[in-house]
Amino acid sequence: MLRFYYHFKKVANMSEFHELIKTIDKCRDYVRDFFIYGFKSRNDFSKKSARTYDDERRRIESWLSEYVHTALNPCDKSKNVSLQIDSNLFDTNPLFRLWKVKSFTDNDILLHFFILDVLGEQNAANALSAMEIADKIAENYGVTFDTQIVRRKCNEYVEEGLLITQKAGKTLLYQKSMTYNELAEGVAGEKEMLTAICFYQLCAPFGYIGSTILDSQHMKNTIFRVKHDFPVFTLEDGILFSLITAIHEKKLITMEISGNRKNSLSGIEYGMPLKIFVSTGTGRRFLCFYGVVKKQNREIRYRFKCVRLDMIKKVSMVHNNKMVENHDKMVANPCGKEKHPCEMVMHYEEIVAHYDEMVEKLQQNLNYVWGTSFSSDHKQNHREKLELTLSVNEEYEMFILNRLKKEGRGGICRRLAPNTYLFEKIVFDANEMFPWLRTFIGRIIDIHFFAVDEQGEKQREYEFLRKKFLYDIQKLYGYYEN
Amino acid sequence: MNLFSEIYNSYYHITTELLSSNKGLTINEIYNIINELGYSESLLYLIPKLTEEGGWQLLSKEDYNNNGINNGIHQSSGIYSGNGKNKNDMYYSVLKNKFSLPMSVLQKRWLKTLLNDERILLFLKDSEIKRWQECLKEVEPLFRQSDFYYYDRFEDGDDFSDPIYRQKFRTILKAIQNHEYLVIEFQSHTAKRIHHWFYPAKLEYSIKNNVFRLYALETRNRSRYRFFTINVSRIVNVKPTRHYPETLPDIDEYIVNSYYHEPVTVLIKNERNALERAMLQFANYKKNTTYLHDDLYQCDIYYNRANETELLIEILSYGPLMKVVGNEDFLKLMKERLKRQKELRNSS
Repeated sequence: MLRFYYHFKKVANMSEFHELIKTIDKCRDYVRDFFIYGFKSRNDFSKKSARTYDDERRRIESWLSEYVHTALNPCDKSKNVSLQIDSNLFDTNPLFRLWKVKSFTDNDILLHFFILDVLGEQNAANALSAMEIADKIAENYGVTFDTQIVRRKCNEYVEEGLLITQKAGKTLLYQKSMTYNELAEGVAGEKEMLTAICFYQLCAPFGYIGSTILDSQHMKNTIFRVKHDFPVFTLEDGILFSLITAIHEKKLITMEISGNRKNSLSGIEYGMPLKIFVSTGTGRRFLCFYGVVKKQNREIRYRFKCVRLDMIKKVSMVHNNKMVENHDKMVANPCGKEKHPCEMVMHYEEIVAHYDEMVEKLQQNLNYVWGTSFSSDHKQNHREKLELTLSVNEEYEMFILNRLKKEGRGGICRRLAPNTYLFEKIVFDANEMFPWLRTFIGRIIDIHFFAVDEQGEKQREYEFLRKKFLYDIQKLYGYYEN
Repeated sequence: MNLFSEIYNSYYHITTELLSSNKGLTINEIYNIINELGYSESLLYLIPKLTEEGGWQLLSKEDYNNNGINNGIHQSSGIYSGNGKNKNDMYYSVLKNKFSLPMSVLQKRWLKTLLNDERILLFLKDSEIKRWQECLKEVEPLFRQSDFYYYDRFEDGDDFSDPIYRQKFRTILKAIQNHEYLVIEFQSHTAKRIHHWFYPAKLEYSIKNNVFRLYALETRNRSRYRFFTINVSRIVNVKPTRHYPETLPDIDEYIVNSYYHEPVTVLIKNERNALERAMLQFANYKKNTTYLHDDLYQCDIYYNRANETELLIEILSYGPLMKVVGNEDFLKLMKERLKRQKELRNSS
């Protein structure tokens, strides 16, 4: 062990390398690329310098060593680093480790232990002033800290909730908050709650927070596993946290969006955040918000929109009209040409005033949203209807009807004839259904798409959607015929 | 209130572990704790800070708090302790009290959120939930269930409010914690009744299906097992046995062994953002991806019998953007699907 340590110490001294980081943003993108793609080599990471890539790779190799897989690309012999995480096998999300590497100073860690130790003295007064804490630290550990520094750290911990305050005349006194054990003392179900945390840290949003509670209780999950989980979600938790806060406070937000496709737009989006849409199948999460669509003759239109969480780089809350005005003057809209006019401030005031109506309207619209699209490319019609005729062997394949029921999102299934069933569903955008519809390949007798009116009555058939769907199947025949 | 804060840092956690020890620690014990709780290169930073001069001085070679007494080291009997450890080689916490970390607001808010989730009924009784709510009355939940909309979650999830389901769940949970065999009677997906002794290893929760499944090992002769995945909702009867295995089986070994040796190999054409979609969707599977040429990628995906059909329809959902080229068994399934589809279309 000692030899191992001294060997690495020698290597480490060759360069200034630190496992800990100040901000999570940069390494988040690298982890995402290593985890999701896994075939990129050093040359593919061209946004930053090669040195940055080397540092980030080394950090990730250090944090997640048991999951890092290195392979040589057989084509160009480049080295590919990937993260291979089999969610069937883990008791906690390994990517939570990214949240546990925030850098700190020597004073930070010393004050952390000294302040909490001083305030944890059993026979002392429960609450102490910053000056008393500083004196106690000097007395107990022989280390002198300026009272101001102690006060600043105490105030930070008040904000984090580790300390609480009370006033004694004009003096502010600090006191330790309760630990998990103190909180749970006398409450039946203390152990059961810890078991619940073992479960929820794996599958609930912000599971990382649960894992920190388990850390503090020296506990590990040995009971639960999770399926259809996307560990990579935790990388977006910082953005999610800002969005959830804005939703609860009914605040307008501006978002910096970064496209990760060659032709996707980067820019700013404005809007009222309403809900987080989660796909358990595709591994994507979206913010659904009421935002600006386009401007015609200085008139601004709004509608429900969705943006992927992993594409949101920054969220800022808009606290007053002036902020919106200033922001409009500074930032071009997503197309990069026009500026939002100040009239929109008025519209936003209206939006804020009608927040509850908006939420209700969204709820009504959800019946027609298959995924995240609130309108199709076909402007003239608001809704589209699918009619899918399937062959289902009633002796052996009744599970198909079960699938239609549980996966059909409220669609209606009717028996047309023995072993023949019709599935109908009205949506805003039938294009979104294609991936799901393809999962019935092998059982599709026919398929049709129609434009429908407000009452759901068929207006005309979308022949091109049918042709598009069947053309894709035709191509598949070509793949597998030989 | 910060999500990314040093108070949750692993180094803090490691140092807490070291300072919480009620005995002196040898350098090797310190190494072991750092290796267990830290990262590959944590030793490099932490050892000098914790044990060398000019470091934090949170550990000392002087036992100011007489912790050595608890370690069998008699202060008056010279430098050698009863267990052979050299007293001068031990490190002691400089803290005066038993260290305990208070809960942060973030942790309390997250905990309160759980109380509003329907699955909490599987763990806590109604009265216990009320008590916890009382304990956490000063904080707001971190999020609401209504903040999230799982648009493609299946609609036939388990009924967590059903008292019989809750009872079965708790019996299983207790047996897993106690490593106790269970007698389980359940209905298989082919409607066959199965009644046997099982070793309950883990409870799996599927986010997409909103169901719990039990990883169970059917016992043949207490040393040979057969791996089963049983939907909790399909369990008709479950009873503890008060029998325990002599050695605990390693469930991960059974899971890994359940994978087919040969992965399914697919070619992905990077049109309509298919590559990124596929990489994200299949991120849960063990896989290797290689760039071939002209926006064409090859991906090997490892799977087992339990998720074969699911993988098949996931690949089908990509249409012509994904082509299966191996293994032969999987390719055969794909061809059968397409053949059947062609016959249906030709006859309609």
